[in-house]
Amino acid sequence: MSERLLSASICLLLLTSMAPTVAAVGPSDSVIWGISYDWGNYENDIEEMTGIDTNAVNEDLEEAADYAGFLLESDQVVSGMTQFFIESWDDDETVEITDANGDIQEVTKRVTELTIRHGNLGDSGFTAAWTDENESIDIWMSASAEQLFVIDAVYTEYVDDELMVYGGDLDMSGEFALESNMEFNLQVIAANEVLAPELGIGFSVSFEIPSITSEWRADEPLDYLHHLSEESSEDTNNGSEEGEYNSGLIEGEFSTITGYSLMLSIEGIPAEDFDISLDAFNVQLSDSIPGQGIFSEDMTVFSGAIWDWDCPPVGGVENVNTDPSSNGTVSAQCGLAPPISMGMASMMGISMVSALDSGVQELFSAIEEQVGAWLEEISPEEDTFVCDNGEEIPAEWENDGEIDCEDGSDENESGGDGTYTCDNGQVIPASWVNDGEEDCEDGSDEDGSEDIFQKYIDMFEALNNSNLQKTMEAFGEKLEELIEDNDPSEPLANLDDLCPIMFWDTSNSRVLGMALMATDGGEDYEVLLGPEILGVKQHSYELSIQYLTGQDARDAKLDALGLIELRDLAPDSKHDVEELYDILGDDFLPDLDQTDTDEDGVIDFFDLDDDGDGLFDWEDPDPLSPSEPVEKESTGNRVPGLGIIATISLLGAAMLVPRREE
Amino acid sequence: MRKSEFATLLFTAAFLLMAWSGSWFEIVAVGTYTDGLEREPTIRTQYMVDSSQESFEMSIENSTPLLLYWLEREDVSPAPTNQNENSSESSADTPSLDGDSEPCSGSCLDRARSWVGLTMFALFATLYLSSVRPSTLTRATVALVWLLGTVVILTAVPLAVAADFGISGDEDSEGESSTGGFDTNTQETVEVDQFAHFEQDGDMGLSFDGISFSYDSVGFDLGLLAEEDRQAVIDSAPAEGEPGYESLIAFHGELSIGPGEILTWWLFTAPLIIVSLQGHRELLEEE
Repeated sequence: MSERLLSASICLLLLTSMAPTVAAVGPSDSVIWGISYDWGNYENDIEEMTGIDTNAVNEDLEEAADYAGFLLESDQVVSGMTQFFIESWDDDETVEITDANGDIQEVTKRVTELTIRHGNLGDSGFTAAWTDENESIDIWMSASAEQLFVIDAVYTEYVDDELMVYGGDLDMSGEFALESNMEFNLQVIAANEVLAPELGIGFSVSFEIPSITSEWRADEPLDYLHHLSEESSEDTNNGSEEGEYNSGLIEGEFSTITGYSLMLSIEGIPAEDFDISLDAFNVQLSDSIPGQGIFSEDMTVFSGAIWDWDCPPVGGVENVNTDPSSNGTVSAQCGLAPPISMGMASMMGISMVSALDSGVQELFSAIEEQVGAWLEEISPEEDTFVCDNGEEIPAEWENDGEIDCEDGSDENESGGDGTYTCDNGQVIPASWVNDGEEDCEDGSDEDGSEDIFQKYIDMFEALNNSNLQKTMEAFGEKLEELIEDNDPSEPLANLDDLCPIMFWDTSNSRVLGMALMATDGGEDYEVLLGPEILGVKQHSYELSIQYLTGQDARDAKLDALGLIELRDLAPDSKHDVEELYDILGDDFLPDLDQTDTDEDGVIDFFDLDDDGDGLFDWEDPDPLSPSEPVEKESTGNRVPGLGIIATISLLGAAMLVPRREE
Repeated sequence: MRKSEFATLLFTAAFLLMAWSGSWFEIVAVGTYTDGLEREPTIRTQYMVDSSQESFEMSIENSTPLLLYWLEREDVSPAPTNQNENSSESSADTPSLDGDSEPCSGSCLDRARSWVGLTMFALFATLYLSSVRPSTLTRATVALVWLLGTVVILTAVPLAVAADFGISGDEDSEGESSTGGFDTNTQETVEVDQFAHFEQDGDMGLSFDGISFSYDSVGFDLGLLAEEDRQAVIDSAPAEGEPGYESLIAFHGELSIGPGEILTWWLFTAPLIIVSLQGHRELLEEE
């Protein structure tokens, strides 16, 4: 081999090693669109859309409470990110597949990728403190919720030149997780008694799908794509009267991990009143169930579109900009059509249901039964008295002066004439038994059950005689007045008239994007969310929800692919709970780290820039060490690090460099 | 008072405070279903007493098979009339347990807490006294109070807990409940009525942490079998693969009962007291 040829080979190897390594990104001419929303701006967006200022509502609540004479403070924080992208393209290379009948078919691939990322953190809490002369009530409540929803699905549909569908393959993975916790502390002081229970409840549910792969081969070629495109001027329920195609089998395999956890903790319960020898109780159930298996189901595809749907002035055929970076305007049919191939939707649905069958149903039925059993246990049982003849009557009928058992055994301690005989032989009226007062000299007419509740009755009466009721009335009246005065500003969008619309590429039978239209109070719709539509007004106000298409969407999707953990999508550093901490105090964050790296007076936990280098913590590769701000790397044109192939190539090239002596 | 005596008093006070605020008595039980249920469900329980409260924690890992087992098994109890009699008797007994027949009216632990508090205070007071008025009598009193405190911690608290629970003699309801799905009545009932070919083995040991028990049992749970299939299993233990073998349940449990952190901190005061008393002796000899 000549030296020149060897050098060329090495250069080729070097070039190969420079290619991006992420396989889940389509070609540059793919059709891609998506939506991205930052939950950190939720309150502002609500105000823009509805005119309601949630902070003003909180202030009204606090002012009304202050007027009524008690303290009330509350706050809520939401943060996180929601993104989804749909990317599709045609692979013109002809491939051979074996159809359901065992015949070889020459087809091309239509690939659709669905990427969903949703991570959300929510915290809320309030404190209330009311006090009268001798009575007081303090309430402390904190609640939190976390959600994660991640899906990656790649669907390959096999079609011929006339868009007849021969089947499809699906690869998907994902995770769904939900966790919620609530703590509630109450302290009531009344009638010289103190009641201070603390309750904690928490649950989490997760369903992880490491992988589902499935294959569908139609018994005969299906024409649902063909019909959607051809008959684009009227309602299309083609193929069969119901728009339903039953053809072939879907077969696949899955692996899943289903997990759950339930937690209950109770402290400060007046246990001694109920003869329970416990002050604090904590119980937790948890499980993580791995599942894997295969499935084989009949394949059903529902397909249809509505083409006489419009959102004036948008309707019929419109020119839509599907790639702002290259001003790629295309002509699109407007209406309502499935955003992804219905073959993909059906395969995802059938595969998910099959995977869920692996353990989730058994799990939830077990939980349901267990909760039912618990409820049955804690629900007050009706006390019964068993007569000597086996008959059962309510316990309170015993010794009530009337014979209720057929054999009269329920009145065996009374004289049968409405009297009760005490242990010391004294006779008193039966109606005096267990009336809260000791009527027998030896006290044997009282079993003590009244005493337990007397304490709470006294507390309730003491609160009833305090100014609590008046305080609540004053609070309600003032709040009504404040809310009436606090008119919401004119909403910038009329959400009552929301109108969704899809853009359909008739030549390729696929959705190019979607738009959400809303009126600005007038007759005509404007684009609230969606691509640029030529001649149609875009909304003019600030919203954090972004519609992405073209290269922008490709870049955002590339970034999103690496975000699979909840803290990636909703970093703690972005979840600002400082105000909530001011309200709820140390009980809210009992182990709060007081470190202040940049010594700016704000501890790292609440500081958006811990090291003070000008980069937000969620953008800073090392948030605790100041570094020179660097320009954000453009992920669309990234240069990969030195990979193994590049290393070998460089070594090879180095060896080929002629030595000075040579 | 010399500096060293002051330091001893200070450290003793600190150790006593740590002892007071730590756990006083702990029962920790871990039970695992080693055979018969998928993924070996494990129950962990911890009962703890400290200066202010009694707390109970329970967690069940891999809980789904255990929940299903508990829900699906049928109680194979003897004649219902006897059971009714028993239950009515026990319900009739309950008030009397909480009432006059129960020692210290269900508040033995409060009394034990008072004793522990008094003993700790007495230890500090006598140690202080022996520092300012060193004599053989005060030194002996300190040693006596320390010994008394050790006895109170080791016996009074556990006995008070047992009394408040209504446990007497060799009945140990905590130990039995750690067996999970097994019946908590007498072992005879478990063997004869609920399980066939029931075998159990137990062991007890003593360690620095307290007393530890281990328990293993295996048997065919008749409650998992249809009524008509039970007799066959009772007559002959099925081998693996034979009908009825699916009712085999094996359980391994470990339970430890100990005095908690209070004993450790209390023992830490011993060297301080010895050093202090030694110093007093030298002082007395000098005088």
